[in-house]
Amino acid sequence: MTAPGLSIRGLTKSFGGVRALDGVDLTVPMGQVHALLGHNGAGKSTLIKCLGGAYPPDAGTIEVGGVSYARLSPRESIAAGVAIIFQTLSVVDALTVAENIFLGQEWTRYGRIDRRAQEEVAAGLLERVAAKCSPRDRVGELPMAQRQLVEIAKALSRSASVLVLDEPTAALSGTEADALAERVEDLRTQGLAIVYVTHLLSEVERLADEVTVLRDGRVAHHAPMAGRTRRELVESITGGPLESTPRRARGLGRGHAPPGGEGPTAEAPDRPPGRERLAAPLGGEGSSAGAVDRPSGRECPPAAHGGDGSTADAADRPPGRERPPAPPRLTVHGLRGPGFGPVGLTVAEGERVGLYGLIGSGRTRILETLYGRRPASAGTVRVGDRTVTPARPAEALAAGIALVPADRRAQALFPSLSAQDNALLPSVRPLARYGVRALGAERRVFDAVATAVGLRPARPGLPAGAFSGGNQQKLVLGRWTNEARHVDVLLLDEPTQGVDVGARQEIHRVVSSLAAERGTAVLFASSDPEEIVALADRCLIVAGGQVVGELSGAGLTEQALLSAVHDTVPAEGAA
Amino acid sequence: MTPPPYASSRRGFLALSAATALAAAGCSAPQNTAASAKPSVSGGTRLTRIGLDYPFTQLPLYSTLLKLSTTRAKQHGISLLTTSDNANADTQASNLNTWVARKVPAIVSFPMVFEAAEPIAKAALDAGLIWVTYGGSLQHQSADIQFSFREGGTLLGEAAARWAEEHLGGKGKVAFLTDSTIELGRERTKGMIDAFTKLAPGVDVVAQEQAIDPDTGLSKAKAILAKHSDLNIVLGVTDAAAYGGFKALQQAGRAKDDGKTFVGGQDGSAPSLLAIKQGTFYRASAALAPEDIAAAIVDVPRAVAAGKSDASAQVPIALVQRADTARIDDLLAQNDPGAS
Amino acid sequence: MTTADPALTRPRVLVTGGLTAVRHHPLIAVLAAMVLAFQLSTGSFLNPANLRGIATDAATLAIVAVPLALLVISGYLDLSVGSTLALGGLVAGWLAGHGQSPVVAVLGALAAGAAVGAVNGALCCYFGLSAFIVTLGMLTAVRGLAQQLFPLPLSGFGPGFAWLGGSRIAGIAAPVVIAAVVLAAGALFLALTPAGRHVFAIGVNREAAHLSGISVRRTPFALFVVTGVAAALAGAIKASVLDSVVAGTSGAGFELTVLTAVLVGGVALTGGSGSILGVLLGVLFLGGLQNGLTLLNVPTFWQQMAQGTALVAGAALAYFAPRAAR
Repeated sequence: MTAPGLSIRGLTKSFGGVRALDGVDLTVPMGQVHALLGHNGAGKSTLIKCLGGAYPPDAGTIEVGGVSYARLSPRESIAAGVAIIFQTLSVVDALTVAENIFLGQEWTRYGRIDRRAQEEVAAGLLERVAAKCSPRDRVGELPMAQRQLVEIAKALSRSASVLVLDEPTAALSGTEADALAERVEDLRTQGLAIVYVTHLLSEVERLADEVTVLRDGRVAHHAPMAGRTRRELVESITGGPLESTPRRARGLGRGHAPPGGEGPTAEAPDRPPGRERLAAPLGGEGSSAGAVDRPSGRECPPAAHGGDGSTADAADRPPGRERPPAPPRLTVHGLRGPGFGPVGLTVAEGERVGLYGLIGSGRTRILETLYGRRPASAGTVRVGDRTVTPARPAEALAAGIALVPADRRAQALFPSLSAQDNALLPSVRPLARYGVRALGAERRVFDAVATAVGLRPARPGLPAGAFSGGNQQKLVLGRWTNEARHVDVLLLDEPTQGVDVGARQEIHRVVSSLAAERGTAVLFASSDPEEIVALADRCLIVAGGQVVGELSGAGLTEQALLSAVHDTVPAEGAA
Repeated sequence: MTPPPYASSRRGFLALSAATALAAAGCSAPQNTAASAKPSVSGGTRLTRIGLDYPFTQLPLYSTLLKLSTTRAKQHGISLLTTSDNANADTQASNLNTWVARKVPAIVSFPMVFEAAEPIAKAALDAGLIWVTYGGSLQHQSADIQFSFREGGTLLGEAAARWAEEHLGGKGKVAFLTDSTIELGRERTKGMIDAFTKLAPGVDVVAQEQAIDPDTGLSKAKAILAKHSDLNIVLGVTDAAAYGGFKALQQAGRAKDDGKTFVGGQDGSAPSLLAIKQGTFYRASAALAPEDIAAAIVDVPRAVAAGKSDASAQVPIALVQRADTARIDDLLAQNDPGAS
Repeated sequence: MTTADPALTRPRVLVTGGLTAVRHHPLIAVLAAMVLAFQLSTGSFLNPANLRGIATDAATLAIVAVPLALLVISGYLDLSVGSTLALGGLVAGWLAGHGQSPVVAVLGALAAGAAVGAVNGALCCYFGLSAFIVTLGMLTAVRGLAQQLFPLPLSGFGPGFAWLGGSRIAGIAAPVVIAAVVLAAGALFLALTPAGRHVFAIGVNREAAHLSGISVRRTPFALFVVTGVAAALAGAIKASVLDSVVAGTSGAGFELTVLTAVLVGGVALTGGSGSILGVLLGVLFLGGLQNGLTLLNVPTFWQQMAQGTALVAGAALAYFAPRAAR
């Protein structure tokens, strides 16, 4: 359209002989959103860091606002009008919104910071990004989505003309992500050139004017978005035609999600969420997946029957009854804890049950309580026939319950320790003989699990921090799926957050085969409807700390999930 | 980045020795100009409380002094207050200021930094309090308790030199365990080395090493012995350091009573006194008598309160050798007042 | 490769293995340079008698440095070891001086050390207080306790007790043998026991370790106790070697010396990395440096400057060399 806001030509950058970027071109005109896709390690973050001035490129030029640079310092980058919103936000929690926006460029009056003027201008900027916070709020007390908007407002205050968003929705709930998408659209109309880095194809479809896919440091695909199918994109990301996941045979023909299935057959729900779609699946056709519906609560969705399972209806209809081949592996009755409950649910042997809900709906609390990380105030948990009351993760593990937590960096990974340590840590003691580590057996188990999860590179001694996000997640998953552990119930919280498409597919495959081959009961939480549909046999809708609905069989679609959540929001507020 | 490993202990020992180092009786009394001025209240006032501010609480001498001077004060109907400075000059200053503010009638203070104590002493005098300086003298003071640190070193150096003349024919090798970190350490070191080298010029000085605690004394002496296995004499600025040297020589295979070996230190600390008494080659210590110090702590302020113009005291130091068994027993008993 | 004559490959393996070790522990090179420099300048640094002296000096350092290193790797810290050392020496000396057998004396010291370690461990691991604050407080408190209990110097512990510090086992001084056992035990613990792996995991990411089912309290608690025991043992050895202990000054500043040895040896204060080989090198570096400077008869303040400079240089080299090698 107009003059290019950002024009990158032939950008090349190597690290110790490895080409991270190899002659990459990228042009983003003002007033356009350009989606940047690719595996982790494909070169996206190197590109962003060259743009932000963190790395000097080896060759190529970066042109911003008509000025061409061979390299940029961080300061020059800001001065040129580039603003990068990283996944890890750079806002200072202890300062107010206005102080954050003007950090490093304070307005002074007679040598003192002119708070009032700053706050007035900040209020204007916040309005521009439709943030719901006040300039005087402390950033640390704001939800993630608002902090992100503060950071965008900060960029606007520096008259940024090029805005780079690095996986901006990774930490946001569905509604928050929707709101952010609206902001991005606003900013596009305000004439910014926007580079949007993401793994989520639905976001690309909604927002992107053009799309560039990086693979191995090169541009693998570049085209206007219009008319692109997901399949094309996924193929250019992975660099080959899609294979359909073997284990997902019972996938009920809803596998339009890239990792899950047979792309083209998907009746991709491209219409806006229709409310009528919710009722149908809830009516319970879950035939093929053998899902059980819970008639009681359907008509009066949320709170009324929130305690399902704890009392009458669970008592007189044991959930496993109608599913003869698969007895319940995990049975939860009336589980309560701070911020949630009562919750009742069952997961059968070999069944994969999703928990879908907004951030703050209690999904994570439920999983963490089952795992003993949080105390339960009431309720019973049974694994098979045994009643367990895990007060610590170690006790949950002893009872056969394992958790893959959501926040990999903070809760799961040991970045400086080797891949083998990461994958085998809880297995070292069980493998040991007479208190001495069985080094040979450890290596054998590691090799087996590395093959099973498709770890790349499969080098036992490499520090986990050197792996891509997807492979890190495989290591964490391998912790519970290796042969030295016996896990009856596998809990996963956002199993593929921040993971590239290829690894996501592999992780889903590993989880599915675990369920199919070892009969492990899988209970996973996700805020990504695509993932729920791809991985779950059955999905429980969580809102306000309770299970408020269930989708299964053919009724389990992205559409239905979204409507279910949107439906329950007001009710949750009232409850 | 690392502090010298034994910095704190070194300082501690030194201080201890400083505190204990006594001037021999012979030294002239300092001119007590200040004493004449202040305690005009004098005469009738009966002293009921004395504050003893002795900063080096980590030293064994502290415990001994505390017991002895408390007992002595009690005999005169006086109660003894103490500070807990932990060998920290800043803590000492704030503790002293507190005492001045609370009007503790008599303060006996061993200033870690004399310059820092000067204004506090002045404030005390201005408030009509008695200020007795311990281990030195200030411009503003009612009186002082003096020790001659150099005298102790000289006594030890002379004794060792005489022994070298008699038993080694004026030849041999000597190592000094010294201190150069605080004033009293430098005084003792100088007294010891000057006296020895003057009287025994034929003895080779093979080392001068910083050491005031037994650990350091041991490792330094070991290193010196690795180079000079025929070392004859080890003289220490403290008994503690010399005791480390004593052990190093034994561990190098020297018999406990080897006739060609001499170890000596300063302070009169119990392990050294015992070693001397047992007839080992630990042969001498320039010792202070804790009872003399305790007496001065109580009597000097009393004398000032009574209006005496020349209230200051010199605490005597004496060389203790094997023959002085009675003196050793006396000192050992004084060191452990609870036991006797 | 596989078909090569083992007789030919072995030396090459040794050489490359040695180079790898140097790359991972550049302190080896620093240490070698230091030994060479001291030997050339003094001529007596490598005398057997002097090496024995260094070894006995370094022994007490190593005995405490090993458990302390494990504690630091697991993300904790113990600054109270200097005072615990004094307490251990005093208890052992007092018992020995009161006619108890050396075994009883040493066991008494170990019990005292274990008690201090248990208090540290309970407060830090189970009550979640900052290890820095707790052990700094204990440094002062235990020193006070030691002085209250034993205000006067103890000495004359008798020939039985002298065995601990003075006897020779196969020609090697007992403290050195004990230190070697402690070093070997530490290395084997890290390499061959599950808990050894857990120590690293806890240090890198405590929360992740907890969520992996590792007992993130029990292991560090045990390490606190072991560190206390080791400090008390070192104190007993020092008391035996010196045949005397002074409550106020024994082990004063030792906590910083031993922490320095641990950190110079490449253990990260942030937890999660370190090795026993590194600790051994750090201990030898500190011990050798002090000894060499004494041999050279360097004046006190120059010694302090040289010591400080050498430490910073050693640490800098240990930090930068591996990066350059990459």
